Amino acid sequence: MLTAGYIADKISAFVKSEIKVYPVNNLRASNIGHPCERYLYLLIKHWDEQQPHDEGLQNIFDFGNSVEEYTIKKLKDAGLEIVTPTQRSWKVENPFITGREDIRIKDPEDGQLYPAEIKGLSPFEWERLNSIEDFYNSKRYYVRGYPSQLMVYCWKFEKEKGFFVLTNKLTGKIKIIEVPFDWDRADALLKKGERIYSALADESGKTVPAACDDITVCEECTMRHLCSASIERPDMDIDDGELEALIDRKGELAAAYKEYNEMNDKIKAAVGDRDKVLAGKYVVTAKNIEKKEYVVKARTERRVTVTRL
Amino acid sequence: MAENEIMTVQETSDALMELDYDNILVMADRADKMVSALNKIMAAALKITNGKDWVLIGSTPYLQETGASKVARLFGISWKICDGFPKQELDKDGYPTYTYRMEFSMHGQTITAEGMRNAADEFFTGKNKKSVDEIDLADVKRAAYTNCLNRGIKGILPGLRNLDVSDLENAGINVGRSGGYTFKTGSKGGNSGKAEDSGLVCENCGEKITQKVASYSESKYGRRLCMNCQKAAAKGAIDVTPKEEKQSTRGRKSAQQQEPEEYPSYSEDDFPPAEYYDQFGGAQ
Repeated sequence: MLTAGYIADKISAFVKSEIKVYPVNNLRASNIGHPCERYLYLLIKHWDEQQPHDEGLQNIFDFGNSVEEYTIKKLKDAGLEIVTPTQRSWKVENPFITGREDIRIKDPEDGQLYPAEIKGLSPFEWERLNSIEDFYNSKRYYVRGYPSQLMVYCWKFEKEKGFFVLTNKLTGKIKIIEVPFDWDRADALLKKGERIYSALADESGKTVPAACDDITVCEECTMRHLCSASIERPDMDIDDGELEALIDRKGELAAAYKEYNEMNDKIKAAVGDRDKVLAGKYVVTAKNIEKKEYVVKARTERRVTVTRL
Repeated sequence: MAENEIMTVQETSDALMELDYDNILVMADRADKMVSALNKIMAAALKITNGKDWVLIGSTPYLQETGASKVARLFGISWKICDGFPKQELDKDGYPTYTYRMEFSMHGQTITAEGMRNAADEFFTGKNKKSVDEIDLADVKRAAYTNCLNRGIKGILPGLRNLDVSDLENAGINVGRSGGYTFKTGSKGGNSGKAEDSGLVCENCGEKITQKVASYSESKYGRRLCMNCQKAAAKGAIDVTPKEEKQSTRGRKSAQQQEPEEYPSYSEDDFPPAEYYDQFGGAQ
């Protein structure tokens, strides 16, 4: 009998059947921006031992392909000349990096073809990314790694710039980020590749590239069962009850605090332009105060975040 | 005391009497604080996990890797794989056993844990006993890693062992979402996830029940009951052996758990990863 559960099971089984681990024999433009050199080293040395990605990620990959098709069509419909390179896969030597371009967009004036990378993003991520700096400053390591792809493409094809074509996966809206070629960053990527290949060339296995120190990367790492790097986490102290009581009290006062501020605003609005008002048992005075601008000096602030378990 | 003087050694049984009374109070205070801290740790650990992070094995809940990782993140448990590991050993048929040894630390305390998995395990070979060539050995190695990770985290937070379903339910965990697995006497029972294949029946009405339903019922009611009989038992319509009032929810096994005749050859460390239990599915 056809049930919702039956249909869901069929879809799930199909998606799982699509999950495959492919050989990794060299660095790729798509992964050279990964923050952990140890990971990239292990990925090539022990590609067959990597943990397969899960069903959720496979769904994201599959959906990403649909987004790419949608985006290309939209760009073409908009009258842009889009070239889907017939020879999409390419390689560079020394260090050996392979890549696969999404598209090139033709400059209507000089006919140059600029590389463009299409990314389907969640609405939140899409909103956050508005300049190349936003990529480099992203909390997500894989977003920080996106520009590396374009850096390698630009270096390979000797282009002074490339583009990110970002599609909002919820609304379908597209925005474009221009990415100027940054030689220093490209050079750093190439040197990183050289270090990894140099370690791979050591058959004794004693030369192992450094692991990154970002715990969020380690937690999701598909090679973590082969990595001897320490997973270091800050210790957690156990409060004797005082802190919990303070947080509870703060929570109790939150509603009153909000109302206090609202009342403050309402009082100011009620006073309006008047300088002095008699209000029952109160006298309310108001005056304008000029505020001088000032520069906030750089400093280290301690941010305390309270999360309910 | 002169070098050649014979030192008088206090008898151990009298040593306590010689302790300063204030010291005893300090020790008692410290013990109270430790118990209080452990209870806080347990409460926090239970709060951050959910039903899917636990699996019921022969009526006892066990924290799976997903849950153990959440707990590790919360408490700041650090670890590293010890030098020389993982190790591989081959049995006489060529099936490898992978062993991991890892060092876990939290708050200056360090423990070492080992985890291993054997490719000859039925989980990897299936009932038709796959040859070594047919088995994904990377999968076996990863399972050994997971096993070690799980043991280490639970080793450094020992309160995560010896819980029962009531502890989880009292902490607001929906145990109905947990996988479940029990064993027929002298065997592992059916593993298709279907009641017809489990070989298990309701002790009240005789209806065939799944591994998961049996496991949940054993933990909750001390008997294997079908879901209808469990509902009746909850209303008091069926006489079930009342669970012994717990004096402490931790650190003590029930009488049923102390008689492991139904799962004689298994220890907690032998349990396969979560995916294994998913196949026994069926919502509670």
